[in-house]
Amino acid sequence: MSQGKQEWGSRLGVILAVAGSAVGLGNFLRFPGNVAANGGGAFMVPYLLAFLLLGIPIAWAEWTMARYGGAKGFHSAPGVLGVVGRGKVARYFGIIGVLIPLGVYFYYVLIESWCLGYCWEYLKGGIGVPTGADVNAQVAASSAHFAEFTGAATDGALFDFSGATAGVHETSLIFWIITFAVNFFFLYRGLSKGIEAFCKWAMPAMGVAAIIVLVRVLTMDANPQHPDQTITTGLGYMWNPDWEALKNPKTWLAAAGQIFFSLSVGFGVIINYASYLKRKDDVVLSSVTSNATNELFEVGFGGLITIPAAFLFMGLSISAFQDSSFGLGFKTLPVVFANMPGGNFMGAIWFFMLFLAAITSSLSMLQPTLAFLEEALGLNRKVGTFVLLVVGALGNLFVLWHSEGLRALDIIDFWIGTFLIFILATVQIICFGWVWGIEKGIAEAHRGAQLRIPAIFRFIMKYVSPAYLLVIFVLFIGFNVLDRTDDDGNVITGYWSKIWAEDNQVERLALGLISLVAIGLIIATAIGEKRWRAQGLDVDGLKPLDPNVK
Amino acid sequence: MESMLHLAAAEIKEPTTAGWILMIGSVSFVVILVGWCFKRVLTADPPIETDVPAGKGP
Repeated sequence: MSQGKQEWGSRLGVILAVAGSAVGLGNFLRFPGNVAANGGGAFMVPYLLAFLLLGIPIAWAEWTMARYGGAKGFHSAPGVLGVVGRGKVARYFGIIGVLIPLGVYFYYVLIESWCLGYCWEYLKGGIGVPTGADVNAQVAASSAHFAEFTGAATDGALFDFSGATAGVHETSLIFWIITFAVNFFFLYRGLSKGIEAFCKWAMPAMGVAAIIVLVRVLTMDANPQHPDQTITTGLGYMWNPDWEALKNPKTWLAAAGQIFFSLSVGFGVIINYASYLKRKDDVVLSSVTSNATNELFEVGFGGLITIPAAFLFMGLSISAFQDSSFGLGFKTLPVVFANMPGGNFMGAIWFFMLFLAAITSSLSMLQPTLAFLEEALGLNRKVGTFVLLVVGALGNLFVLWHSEGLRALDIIDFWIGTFLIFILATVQIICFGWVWGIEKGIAEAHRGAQLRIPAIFRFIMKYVSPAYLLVIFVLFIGFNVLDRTDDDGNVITGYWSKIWAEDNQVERLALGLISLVAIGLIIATAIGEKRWRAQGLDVDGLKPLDPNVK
Repeated sequence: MESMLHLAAAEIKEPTTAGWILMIGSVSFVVILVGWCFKRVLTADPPIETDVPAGKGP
């Protein structure tokens, strides 16, 4: 197979690539908002439990299945899951492992380009937040700039090059094109020379940038207009525990969701990346190391930077923004940078760090799809990259055009980037623990391992993780998919109703786009299956592995 | 309502003892974990024995 030529250059490289995939905007923006909104320090209890019972076990399963599938000659989620899940059903569920990274790429690269664009604007002198004005006016100015930069005012706004905001729209589109091109440049260079080489440079650079921002934030003086708003009271706001929050199912759902989406498990990335490992390469320690790296950026940096810095200038009114990553990252932090000595420099570093976090993730979204195109359709890397470039550009343009209220982005993020991840993770842990068999799965994980999986995880991976996932999934549907009434009697519209609401044509179009892509992937999988059988590959995982496979 | 509950509890105040413990404990945990992991990876201990002989896997 054409994909057989791809391999990692070093063990550290694959760990950093997987960690780079996991570390994204959510580490710096979503995590601190989640902590502050869900019990402060008390949030760490369900968070740690979810890390141990969901994140670590599912990651081990994914790494192990991927390496095994790779040894059988498969590098795409449909191929790998077909082998481990022993048949058609698992193989076709595996399509989700291609649909998720591709679908998320449709909007994620746009957010990535905003980060690079903001970095550029800070290098040029900031985004025009009026520092002398009331803090609410500053946030309003920052929010208005964000709306212009993203075209959130109306559909097609970014393509309007007349009027006072034309320059902002041009900047936004130019940085999208640059970001898009950089992604495909590294993708085309291949696994080792492109993605791995980039991540080996980008991850340490991101760490250095995070340390610089952290030191600056922790040494900031109190707000002169509100002397009680200091970095330590900001830390108190974020970390002082509210134990009552643990009685609320929403806290547990938020913690599990944070771990789940942050670690890139059930995303279709690890199952591709780890499939390029050699048979004797360790997966147990490598998996824990990449997860730990993600946690360092999330808890160690995300937990200390974002909310305390924003609190210094905004005080308790920060609570209005903490539920939204965009609100925290693009609306409130620019106010912080505007008021901080040397703020433009720090703003540039901050948004460059976010850009690095995002691009190491977006690269990991392209590679699984490219591997699938090569594997299923027999395309070479050049043609596969071109096909992916066209599909990626069309997806990006769809989201760019339907920019009003970022609704297209939101609906794809929900159904692809959230809902389907639950499904894929469930399929994976069931394949590992039940179809493959937990004893065989653990034995396979231990092949070449530098760390032994504690015996208790046999029970956890077989029973606890699937059950935990199921409970969280039911809660997730109750809170997000279906309409519900909050404690004040307000009806909160769920995502299911949003699809069918009369005015929500964009939501229906977005789902139509996703469906089209899914149909294309189903057809490609059917074609691939025929090719794989013709090549004599063990498509259904029924034969023992050739002992000579390295 | 949930965020209102948290707001009610959230006043401007220094970290409590529990707040400090949770913050320092959480950050220390991830720093130690990542340091331990990378030390193991970079010193590259020889692989442990496998449970299954080659060719007899699942």
